[in-house]
Amino acid sequence: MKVSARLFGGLSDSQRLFLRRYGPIFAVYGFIIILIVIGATQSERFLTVRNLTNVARQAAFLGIVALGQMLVILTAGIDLSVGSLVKLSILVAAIVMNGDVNNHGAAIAATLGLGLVVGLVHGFLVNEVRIAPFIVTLASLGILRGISLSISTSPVGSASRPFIMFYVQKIGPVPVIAIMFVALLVLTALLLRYTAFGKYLYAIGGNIEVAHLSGVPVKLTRYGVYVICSISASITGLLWLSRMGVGDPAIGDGIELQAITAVIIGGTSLFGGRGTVIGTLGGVLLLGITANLLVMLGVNQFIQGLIQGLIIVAAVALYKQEGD
Amino acid sequence: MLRKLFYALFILSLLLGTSLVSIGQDDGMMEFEITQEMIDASPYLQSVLSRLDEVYDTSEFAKDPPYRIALAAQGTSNAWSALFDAHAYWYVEELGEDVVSELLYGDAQASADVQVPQVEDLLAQEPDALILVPMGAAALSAPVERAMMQGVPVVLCASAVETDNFVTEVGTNLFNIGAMLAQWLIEAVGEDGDFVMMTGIPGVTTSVIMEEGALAVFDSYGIELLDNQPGMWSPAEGKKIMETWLAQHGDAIDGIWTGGAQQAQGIISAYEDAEMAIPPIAGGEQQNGFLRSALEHGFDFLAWMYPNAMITLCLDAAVQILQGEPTPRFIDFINDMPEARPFTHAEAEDYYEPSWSDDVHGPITMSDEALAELGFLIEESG
Repeated sequence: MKVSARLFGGLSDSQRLFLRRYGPIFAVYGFIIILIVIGATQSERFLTVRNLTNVARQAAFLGIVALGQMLVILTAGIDLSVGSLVKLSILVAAIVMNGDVNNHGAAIAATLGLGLVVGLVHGFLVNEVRIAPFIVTLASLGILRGISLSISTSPVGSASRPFIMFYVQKIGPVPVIAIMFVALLVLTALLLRYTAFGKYLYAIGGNIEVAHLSGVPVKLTRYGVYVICSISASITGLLWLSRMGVGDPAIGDGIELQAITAVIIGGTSLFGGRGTVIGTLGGVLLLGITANLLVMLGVNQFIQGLIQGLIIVAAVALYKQEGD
Repeated sequence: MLRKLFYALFILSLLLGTSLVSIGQDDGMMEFEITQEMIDASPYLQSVLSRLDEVYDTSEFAKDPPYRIALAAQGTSNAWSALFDAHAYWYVEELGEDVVSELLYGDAQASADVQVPQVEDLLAQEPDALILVPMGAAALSAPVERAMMQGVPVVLCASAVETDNFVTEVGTNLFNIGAMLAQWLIEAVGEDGDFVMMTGIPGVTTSVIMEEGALAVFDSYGIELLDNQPGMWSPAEGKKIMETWLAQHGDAIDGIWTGGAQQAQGIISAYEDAEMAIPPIAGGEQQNGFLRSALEHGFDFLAWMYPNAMITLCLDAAVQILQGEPTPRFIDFINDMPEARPFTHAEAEDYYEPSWSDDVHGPITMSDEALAELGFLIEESG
């Protein structure tokens, strides 16, 4: 007997459907609540405003990249290059800004423009040259990293003072960066729920041939998601520059895996066609709170890898039940 | 007017005194001059030289013990950092709970990406002081400034950041170390020799600054290197690069500059496989595996020391700051740990410890029992 059948035994069809669809997400949020309880009981400083705003701001860094990654994965694609693009974006923004407030516009435009170009190239190679997204973005990971380290292996450029202060700005107790992330979350949710573009993503991820035959503009949609994903990485690069004040090529490695992990934990299928913004937010928060709690409790960070691995296995096992 | 002139002459004499660096004076091992051109080209060198005679008035940080001290460490990514952490916990116990009540610990996994948010997590716990082993000079500059803005005094340990807004740095002049190794190599081989250079991890401050110092000396002799590649402080990566160099240059390599002993082990292993004589190596350390290989093969080397035990000085500095005592802005561990001076192949036997495992970096201040508990002692045969 399947576990799901046992779990959902005495429920109506609509209740079963609801639980199958959202049960694993509830599980992720349930786990977050458990972590919060552990944090609150084990560390007197975990539930302070200072620490919670710190966690919220940190979640934005991973969250913005994860949102872009989720859209790509919804179409049964993947983008392994986002970490390298974050690295290159930091350098480009720092070099163009060069510590001068008058260069803000040029630096932001250059960085977002970089994201746009990288996204278009990915879209072109996936759509027109018909190379698998995994291969395209794996190659891009190496190329963008190589370009970054060719520019400099040591810190270059700098952010202006107001740009650095943006990192610590708050509205009330809430960091502006966290508010920005929430705004992007809402926008993405609206995009997926109320626009044709959002429907197309699920359709392409569900079955690309059927989507094509149904008149879905597959190529255009895929250009769109790769551009959005790359721009989200560039935005994260700008935020990192605000966080550090200089362009440091040491940053960026491994962000792609963190983002993919958050998306998977949040219930987005790696095969496309299924995923929610609220789930991805859950994945981001789970990883963020785990990292924060491990520091609070003085636990070796390698345990974090172990915990992340266990969470992924547990999450996929839960979603597998749904699939069955 | 006369007083100003006197101060100016005094400062000038100090600068000149520090600019002529001599290491291993007893045996006249090597000597080189730090030129104004080198100082101008190196913001790190400018920062270190300017802080040599500065003292920080720490009265604003004074408070009663016990203290909660945050340690943002490299993490247990290799034996050096594992022993660094072990020294930290051991020394906190030695100091006693009435001095340090809690050591808040952050494990950066040797990554600036991990360390930046981790420092934020540590500061959210409102520690009395922050000891930071920066994983990136630039990446950690803004977090250091934010800590100081928050009123948390920062002690940099074993590496530097780009800002000068911290209380003190415990380490040594890495530019000098890199330059000294290059100078020794040139003297050992001759100015006409062909050299290769294997740096540590690109972008990591310790590696970058040592490379700066070495290149300044090579450049001053007009020497063009055969190649310069990062060995990532990894025996495996070091061996891979050395194998490529041996295939490309064969026995034309007259001397090797390396930024650490771990990758030097890879270099030695590549020569063993190729059954070739090992040329002089500048850049060994008191790392037991390196010393064992050096004694087996009998090649010439110059080793420097970067003791993981320097964390004890970092903890002392943090306590000193919190007690409101004036604190030097640059604490060179060589002054407090005279045993941590450079040495050559001639003294290899004195530094090799048969009871230590290959991955132990000396000097060690912990007891043998503590070292055994960590698994760094090997059972004596027979």
